[in-house]
Amino acid sequence: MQFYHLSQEDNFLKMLSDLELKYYSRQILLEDIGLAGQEKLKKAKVLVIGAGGLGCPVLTYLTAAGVGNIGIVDHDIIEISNLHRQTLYSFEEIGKSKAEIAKIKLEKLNPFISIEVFSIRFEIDNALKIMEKYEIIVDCSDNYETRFLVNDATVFLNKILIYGSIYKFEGQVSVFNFKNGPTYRCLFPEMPVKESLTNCSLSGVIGVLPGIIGGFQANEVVKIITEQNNILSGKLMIYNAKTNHNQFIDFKRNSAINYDLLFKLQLSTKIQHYEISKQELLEVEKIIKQEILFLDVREIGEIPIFETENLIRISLSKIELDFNKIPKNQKVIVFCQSGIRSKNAINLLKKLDNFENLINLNEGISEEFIESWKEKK
Amino acid sequence: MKCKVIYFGLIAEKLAFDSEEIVIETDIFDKSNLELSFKKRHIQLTEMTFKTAVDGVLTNKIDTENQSQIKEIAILPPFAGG
Repeated sequence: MQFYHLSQEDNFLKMLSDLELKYYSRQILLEDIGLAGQEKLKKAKVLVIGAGGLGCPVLTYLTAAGVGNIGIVDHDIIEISNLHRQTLYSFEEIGKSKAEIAKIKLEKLNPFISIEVFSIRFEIDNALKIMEKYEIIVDCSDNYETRFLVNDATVFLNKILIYGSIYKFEGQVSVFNFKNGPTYRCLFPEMPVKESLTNCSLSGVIGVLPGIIGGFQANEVVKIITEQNNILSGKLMIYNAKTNHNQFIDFKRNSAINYDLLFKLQLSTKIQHYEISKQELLEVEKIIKQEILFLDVREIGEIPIFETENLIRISLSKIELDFNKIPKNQKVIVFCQSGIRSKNAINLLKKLDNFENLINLNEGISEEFIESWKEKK
Repeated sequence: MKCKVIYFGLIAEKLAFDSEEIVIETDIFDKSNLELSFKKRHIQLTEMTFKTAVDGVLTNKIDTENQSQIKEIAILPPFAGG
């Protein structure tokens, strides 16, 4: 075929075998892709988090397009109720690992690429390690907890995030953290509480919709890798499968969000003796104020007196008696005068009842901090 | 001037309709806080998470000087499904 042997493309021919050139021939014919684009696809490293409704079309199209290094994260097994929309799987594979089966199927579709499987739940302890080597992350998860973690970790590592999500007949697509563009938290700063139990398993979803939304996600990945224009960065696309209506919403990056800190706060549930400075606390409170509880472990009468909502007082001397008043389901900032007793209180609480949600306010409380806090309120 | 409000996802479901027409001058009680205004307007939204967009731009405010020019307000909940 003539176009394989254009002299100016000789460098690229070394990257792709004759068989690969045949495989991708219809794509290489496109002026916007060409051999150069195909080589970029081959070199690209893309991680897909979730191999369910969205993950199946994303993985299929990225594999077929020739994305050279694909990671799949999914701890789930295939269930019969998945099959109407998760088209990589078949009836006889029920009960088997989604990530493992996806790899087998995708390798049959395209033997020229490399696929790495993580059959584990994507969590704060493994997030950075899993994401490390990939350049583009595709969020195909199905719950807010993972979505916020994926976003924060992606921004923390400065990767590009391709977002897609669905609800019944509607889907949302966007590209986050692309060339310093906006992120998921610039759209939705806080994790919803009331709606967090809503997912496809509970609310239902039309089977074709994840195919459409996943297709849009895969398209954005290919566009980014091959350096095309009109990336969905700073735009949220909302698609309605009933009306075929597409809505676009423009949004900007919120530079007030401190991602390093947000990610450290998430990590704090796993790291012993995590500490936060007063300045960091003032910054992060803007974003997640409803999740933070203060625990004052000073004795009665100590000054300065700090009055705020969401504060409980249990002095260090009484903490063994009253530790059951401290919740475990939200971040608790523990403070004293200097940060030493609060650190001791945290150690004690960990021993007493395995508290993992406590953060020490290092250097303790101060008049200056209290004034700044009041100004914010 | 009437303005169209479009509701998406779970919010449209809670309200049992996906759009309505409002008059911004009289129907939006706090032009500097659209989220709060819509939570007051529809009690079903009180505890729900959503963002607002005016004529295709994410914002929680209405520019009162140009409010008569506004054609559409979108009420956007996050989706989690995958």
